[in-house]
Amino acid sequence: MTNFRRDTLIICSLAVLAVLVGTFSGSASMQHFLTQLLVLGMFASAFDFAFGRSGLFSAGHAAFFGCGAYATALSTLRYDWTFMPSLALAALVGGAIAFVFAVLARRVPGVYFALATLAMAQLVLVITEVKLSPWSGGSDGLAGVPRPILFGVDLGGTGQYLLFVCVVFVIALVTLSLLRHSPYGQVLRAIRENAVRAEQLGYNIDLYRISAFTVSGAYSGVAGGLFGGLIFYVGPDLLRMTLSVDVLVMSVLGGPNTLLGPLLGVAVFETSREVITRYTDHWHGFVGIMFILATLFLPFGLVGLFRARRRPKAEATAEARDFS
Amino acid sequence: MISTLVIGLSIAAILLLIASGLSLVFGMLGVVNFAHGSLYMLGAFAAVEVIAWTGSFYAALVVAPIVIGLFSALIEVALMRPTYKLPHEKQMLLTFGLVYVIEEAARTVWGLGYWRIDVPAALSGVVEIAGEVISVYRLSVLATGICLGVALIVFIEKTRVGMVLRAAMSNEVMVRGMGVRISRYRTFVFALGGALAAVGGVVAAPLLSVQVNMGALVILDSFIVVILGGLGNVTGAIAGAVVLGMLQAFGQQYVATWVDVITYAILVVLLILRPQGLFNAKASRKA
Repeated sequence: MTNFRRDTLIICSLAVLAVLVGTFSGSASMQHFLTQLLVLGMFASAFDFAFGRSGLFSAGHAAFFGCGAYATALSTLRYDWTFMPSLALAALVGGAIAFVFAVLARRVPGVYFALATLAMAQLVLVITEVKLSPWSGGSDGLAGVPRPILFGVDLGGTGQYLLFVCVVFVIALVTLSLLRHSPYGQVLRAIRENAVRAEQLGYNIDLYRISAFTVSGAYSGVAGGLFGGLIFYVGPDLLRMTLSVDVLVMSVLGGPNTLLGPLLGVAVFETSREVITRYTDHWHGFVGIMFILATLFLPFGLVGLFRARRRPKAEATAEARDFS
Repeated sequence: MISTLVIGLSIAAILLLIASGLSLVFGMLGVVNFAHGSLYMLGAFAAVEVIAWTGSFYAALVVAPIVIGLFSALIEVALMRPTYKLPHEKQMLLTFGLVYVIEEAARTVWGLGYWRIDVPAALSGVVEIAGEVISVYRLSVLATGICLGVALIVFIEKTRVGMVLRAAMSNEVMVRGMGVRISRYRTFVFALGGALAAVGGVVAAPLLSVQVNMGALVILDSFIVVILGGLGNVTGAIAGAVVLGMLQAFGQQYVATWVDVITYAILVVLLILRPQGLFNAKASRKA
């Protein structure tokens, strides 16, 4: 469990760092930005549990994030739930939708799995935005999503909400890391590397894949619920393909199947957005160039910059996959 | 009824021009190219520029595909070529990067406004068929789609280059072993796909308005067509384009709010039951 201990240490230090920077900067926009980084970092890590660890190439993760956000917003605004139960509901809804996706697409091979999850996510989007519009607020979305009040303490201020998100972030990332390093996580990795061999060894690969996808969906749902609280609003943009693509891109950019990769991807993506949009309107152009350069020159993502030694081995597996 | 049919078929013709290239590129290069919609958009803007210089729609119809074809060849050689050995998600990262860069460049040059291309005078009238008024331009779009679709099938099924392409899609290592330079064929296919998308952009321009996000609007529909037909299968793409074109034209007419739901529901069911598409024998090895 040394890897798990190291991961826990890193996660806690990141959270403490976020709180310290947020507190001492004293600026609400900085605290808002840090909270956004943590929420999206959680989402990217959840995505990576399905994609990087289990090899489930999803292009529809916005569905889980967005439905989690809608679950929190609808239960608090329409049915007067308090925040904590509604966050649990977000996990349930995200997990349930991911479960349905995975059951339906469990035998769809390779890149078709990405296309199938993309199509199902689009279906969720059009149903939510168009068919359920009286309930879900349609294209306008729902404004006024509340933030939590815990044990009589109002966590509505930007600084307090950052603290709250930090706690959830640590719990989520540590449990995810525990899952990754557990025997269960090792089986997921074995299935990703060679599904036929794993099946021959007696593992029920459908069960593992579906459960991994469901777990990933549940964490994505929680991230979505927290995001709704952060911006006081949920709308169909949280369900759009753009978001599914963003989370895929952030994870691949950072380095899939690592603890730090998705977090680093989110940090670089969001920070570059903050910094570049300050000077020019052409942020998307810069991001595009960044993607192209990363594909051509960083085969293992940004994390790969710090891990030059492991390159030959990983390249060998890439070649082995190419000829299989 | 007939006018809806013609509208559906003209949508199908435009979708076919985009989707056939997308399908060929996947079959030959193994890349799911999200930047294909951007090439279609660039084709339409190239037409705007050519018409501004020469005043001729027909000149645009010839020049725009050549320019975009050459541009696509450049992209293939410089950027796509190093990625064939990489997994799909890396290639997607690259094509999304291309989408961002191309759209940003187009936004910088042409702005966020809407540009119009007028229907050429000779095709601007209407004809009456069975008591219904039908635009001549839509009929000519339909004719363009049929001509290019037939030409493409003849090219793939009957010519030597087409034969090499088909062989390379089914067993690339063997074709390479027989001394064929696959890389040149890949460049050619990518350029051809770009040129076809540009033709689609030019003929679609008078029906829609030319704007930067027209590529993003069409790319999902093109993927649906490609999936319906089976990735890499041009004949299947024709059937897929007709199905989707009809669904959109008749759906808009009768059940407008359900069109997207029905489209994606069909797509989901198809991907789950027959991921290889309606017209492919089995899932492609490259997937």
